[in-house]
Amino acid sequence: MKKFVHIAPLVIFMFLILALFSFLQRDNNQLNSVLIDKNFPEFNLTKLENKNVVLTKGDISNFPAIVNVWATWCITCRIEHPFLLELKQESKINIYGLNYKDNRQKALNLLERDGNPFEFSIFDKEGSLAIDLGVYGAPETFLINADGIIKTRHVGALTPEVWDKKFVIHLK
Amino acid sequence: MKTVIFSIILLLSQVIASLEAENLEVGKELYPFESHDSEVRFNRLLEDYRCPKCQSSNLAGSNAPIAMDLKLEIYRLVRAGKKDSEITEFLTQRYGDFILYKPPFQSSTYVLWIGPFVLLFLAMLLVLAFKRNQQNKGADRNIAELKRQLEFDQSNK
Repeated sequence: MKKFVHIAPLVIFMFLILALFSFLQRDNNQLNSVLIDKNFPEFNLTKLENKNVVLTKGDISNFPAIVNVWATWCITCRIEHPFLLELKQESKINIYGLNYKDNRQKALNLLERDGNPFEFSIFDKEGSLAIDLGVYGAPETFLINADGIIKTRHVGALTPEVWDKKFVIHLK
Repeated sequence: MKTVIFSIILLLSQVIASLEAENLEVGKELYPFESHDSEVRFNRLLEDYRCPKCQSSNLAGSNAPIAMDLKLEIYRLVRAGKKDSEITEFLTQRYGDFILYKPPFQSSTYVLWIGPFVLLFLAMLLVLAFKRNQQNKGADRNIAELKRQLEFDQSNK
């Protein structure tokens, strides 16, 4: 008992150090999405490419698919853009865009210039669908599996490493 | 001279005061409410929810674009007469419990809520053990003292 009392502070201190270091390792920028294992939310928005076409949830129908939240004002989106083009070329996944709080003409110009990896983009000027998806910063990418269920969400640039680590496992 | 400086300062302070009043007016117009109660409720709600982007500040204190959007959404919900619980549900269904500054009491947060009391209990045990130890030492010392006294008395008989 006496011995224990003497080493107790040391034990507690070491435990604290371990606990705090484990918190440091955590990636706080990646919030867990509440929508994992749920269906894609309902929406009613125009198509980026044609403002007279109204899109709904039913238009995202070719699964598996990813929905990529992007905008022309978003710098990181430019960084992941080549990888999205590569995905379109080399994988069978369908890529849908969610153009987030953007200017329609600017967005179209960017796709014209840099290439368009998307089947189509949903034009979410007010960010209403983005709020329903729990989006808090572009770019974000949602993976929808073959059954139409959201399986993962990545915040930040989609890179080959992220793709292999977080996305491929849900596609088997 | 003194009076000139004094009157300039007075003038300046009034200009600043009127500017500030103007700012307050502008702030009011951003989120206009029909009733004072709704406005108070709106402002309180903004204090209670966390900005998902900046994470260390509430919605009221954040100018991140997403915080602005959520403020507007909460403004709409308050004006539509939604209850606090309904607004909280709206936000947690999209952003999770993370958006709440006060986390709910559930299995994943037991450590958070109960942990401090467990630590307090352990600390009290330690203090008690330490005290008892000291008392025992004191008692031992007293007995030793008495024994010595007794031996001394006996040898002096």
